[in-house]
Amino acid sequence: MKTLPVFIIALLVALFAFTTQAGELKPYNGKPLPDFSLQDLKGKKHSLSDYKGKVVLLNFWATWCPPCVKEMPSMQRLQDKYQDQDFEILAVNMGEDSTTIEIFLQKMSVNFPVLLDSDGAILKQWKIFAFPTTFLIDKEGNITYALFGGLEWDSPEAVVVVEELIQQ
Amino acid sequence: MHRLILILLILLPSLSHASETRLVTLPSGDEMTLRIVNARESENQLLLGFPCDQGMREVELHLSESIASQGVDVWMADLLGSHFLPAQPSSMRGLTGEEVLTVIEDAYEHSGKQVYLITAGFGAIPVLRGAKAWVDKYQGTAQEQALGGVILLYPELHASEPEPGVDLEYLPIADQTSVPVYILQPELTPARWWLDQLKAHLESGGAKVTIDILPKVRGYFFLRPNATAHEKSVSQVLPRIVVNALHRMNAEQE
Repeated sequence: MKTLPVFIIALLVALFAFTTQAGELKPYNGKPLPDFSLQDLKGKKHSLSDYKGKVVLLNFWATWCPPCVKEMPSMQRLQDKYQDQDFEILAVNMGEDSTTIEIFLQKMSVNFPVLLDSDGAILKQWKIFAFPTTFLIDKEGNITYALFGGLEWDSPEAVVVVEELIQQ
Repeated sequence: MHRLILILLILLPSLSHASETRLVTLPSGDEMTLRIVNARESENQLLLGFPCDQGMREVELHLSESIASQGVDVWMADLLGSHFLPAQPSSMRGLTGEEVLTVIEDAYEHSGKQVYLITAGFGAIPVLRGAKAWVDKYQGTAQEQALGGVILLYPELHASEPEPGVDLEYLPIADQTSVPVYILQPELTPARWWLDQLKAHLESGGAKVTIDILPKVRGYFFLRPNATAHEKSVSQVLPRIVVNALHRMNAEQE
């Protein structure tokens, strides 16, 4: 894929101001949040720190949350777009059992890791008060953007932001 | 003639309650409409309802009638409508609670019953402020006990919209409540994970806090046009859930 020069990307980021019809991707101004380890549906452990060196889209969601469900196909499209690049999506499910999630994923085919925060421990550490909540984490492990609400993740506005982080 | 009257009495729907409206003059001079749904054979408690930030809706009026059918008088006060405020959280944050105090006083004066308050969502803000105003005004008097407690459905007491990754800031009233509080919290809400924190804030003001999780339902479940079959079922029994909460609070005071 031919990529834009970084300065052009930065300009586009500023011009679009991170807004979409659904939510607003804002620069993150909070404190650093802790590393964590969670299992996926197959029992494999994933630590956030395992993904250092990649841009991570960390999404907190639930099957009963309509905006969460609505944005998930666009997350998969974003994953597909950057599948050969330093980019990963981690979707942390909030407190639901494996069966409920498995049934949901039969209708919503995704190939990024779905992690289980069964007791809400990570939700509390990361101060999640609404679903969906998404963080964009750069290759150094720094939280750069945060969003409360759904988004079309393959919209031009969102892609510009993700592209900039990947190219850093 | 007697036969005609008999036929009319048979055809009339069997009413478990009678309903009326009354105007209450607020300190601001505005008038608030109080919708009164009294049970035919009522208990010694009165449930004073304040609609949530979504405003007064038919659903809440139907709920009040269902509760009244179980022997509890329900009076509904339209907080937002009386001030011509839009149905949104910021409207609730702006209410001082003085109108709630006025309505509590009116309810107690006209009924002589122990009053319990009920609301949902951001309605918790003016309702708890009004409860505090009642305690501040009548503390140490016999009248203080006339306010039995508050039932809150999925209360929202944060000072501003939450930010991802940032500690939630609660309004001061979360730490200034001393009346008993009964929380009914839908399981399928992010807030259910933060109930221990909310409970700690409320208890810091002296409130005795009871929490019941409503399984497998979302916030505002009984107002949702896209309610699931389960949510509709829980909505059907919500009046009973509310009455049980009221009875539990009442029993703990005896």
